[in-house]
Amino acid sequence: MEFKSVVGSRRSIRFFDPWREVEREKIQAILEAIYRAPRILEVDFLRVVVVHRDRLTPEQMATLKTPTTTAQLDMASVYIFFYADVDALERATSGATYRELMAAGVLNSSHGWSEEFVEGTAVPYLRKLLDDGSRAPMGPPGADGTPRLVSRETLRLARSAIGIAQDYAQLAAVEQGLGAQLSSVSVPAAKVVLGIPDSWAASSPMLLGYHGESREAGGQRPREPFEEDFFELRYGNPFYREPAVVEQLRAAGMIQAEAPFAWRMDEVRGLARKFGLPD
Amino acid sequence: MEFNRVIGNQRSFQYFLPWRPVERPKVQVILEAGRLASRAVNTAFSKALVIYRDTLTQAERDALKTPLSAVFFDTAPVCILWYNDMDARRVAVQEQKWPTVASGALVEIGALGPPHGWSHRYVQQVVLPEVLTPGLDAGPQRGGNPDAALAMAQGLLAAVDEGLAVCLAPFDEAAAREILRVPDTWEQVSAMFVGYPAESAEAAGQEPRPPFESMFFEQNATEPFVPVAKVTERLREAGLIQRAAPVPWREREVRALSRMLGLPQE
Repeated sequence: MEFKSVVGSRRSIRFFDPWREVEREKIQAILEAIYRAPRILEVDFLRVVVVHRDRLTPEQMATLKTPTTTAQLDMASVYIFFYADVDALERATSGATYRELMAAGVLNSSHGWSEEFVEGTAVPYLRKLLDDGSRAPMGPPGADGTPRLVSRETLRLARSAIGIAQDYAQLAAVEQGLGAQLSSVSVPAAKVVLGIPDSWAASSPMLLGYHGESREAGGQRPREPFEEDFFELRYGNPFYREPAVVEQLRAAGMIQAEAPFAWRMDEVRGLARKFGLPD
Repeated sequence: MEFNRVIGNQRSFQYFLPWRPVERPKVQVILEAGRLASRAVNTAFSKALVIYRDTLTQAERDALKTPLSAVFFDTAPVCILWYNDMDARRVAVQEQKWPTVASGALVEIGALGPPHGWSHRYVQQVVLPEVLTPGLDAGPQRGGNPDAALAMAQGLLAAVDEGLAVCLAPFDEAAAREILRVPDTWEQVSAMFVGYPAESAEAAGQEPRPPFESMFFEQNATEPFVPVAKVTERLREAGLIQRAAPVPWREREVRALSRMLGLPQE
């Protein structure tokens, strides 16, 4: 599938065929894409746990639900949980990853990389982020009943690592012909159910399954004006949006018809009947 | 370009052609892709500021540099500074200007509906008071960082699809506030350096990673997800898995690139 079409076809799918398993090969293909994602500062934050819904007990399922995630958790057959191991930043201060990248010809002396640079510059740069005085809780309380505090800079980097992986995962799911949605679950419950270590910071898991609704899912979600989000040269100077580029992306399938489709409400009512949900 | 090949072709490119500008429509494509990324409660956490090397003074470029991004500010013709707007949730909840969950727009268009328990009343009586409003009094909210990074990643892949070289590296946040008038509520995600590759499309080769089984697990955090070889082979054929770094000629290529670009040679 062409990249632009993948981007344009992505939706937050909320209706999955609950009776249809996702083939393990497709899950692996999604993970292999995530595995190639760039790393923030080359730190190995990312941890991913694939959960098959039908291997959870009803009690475990119940604890994972939140006020905004109910039916879709019952419908998606796979959940992909994303975590960032905040201890990865401490490990990165060994400099081993930078040395590995130097040996692989990725980081070179042309850009100043050397053993002295790793020891004297790169590692102290990471150390400064790690030791930043501004601390924040990184998640639910640990075994001692108190949440672990880490530097805000660590959290910032860790969350960025997760976001990059989430994007790769969603796009790879579309490529595999699957529906996906980033959703919320109870983080403390997931920690217990999945045996998540105290050093892993959580974010939204991706629900995965075969579409129960049409792939358009009512159309591309509306957005605020382009110029609200993108600037050029200085903040306050909007990046002018060339209509010709928009047209080109429309032709390539990246920009698609915006929600709502005229028949969306009928579709939602039909889906409610299909899946025995309230309408 | 086919999706798997875009994923496979992505590298942390280090060498840009400093004299070859990036066409503005290609920059717009990067932003358009970022704009279409998934985002929690349909809120605009992600912001980006496009700067051009040649419109900044040397002093401005130097101020924006960090130890890990110094060369890029001098060689990449375009730099996109990606941010998380820590004020985005407050704007969504209190101003309700744009189509977000808080404004009720997603219920209106049928993205969220009664089958999942959503209605305008549910937004007003549960989601706003219990989910979106708590914590706003404490000031800027940092939780949107994954969404901002998600948009950036989508923009990065769009750059690869456009045949551009791209790499992520940190920038000096305080200098960006001063020079580029960036709001205090914007938190850095990363700088994305963009240009045409001076190095081969393969660059050093696909970059090394820790063992797959140390990052991916199945059903719990201790059981590794064991990959199946035939899937790996299929993805190799599709171009997602490519030759691992270093490619055999890398040292010679790096020396030649250094000569061409006037960079230090070991």
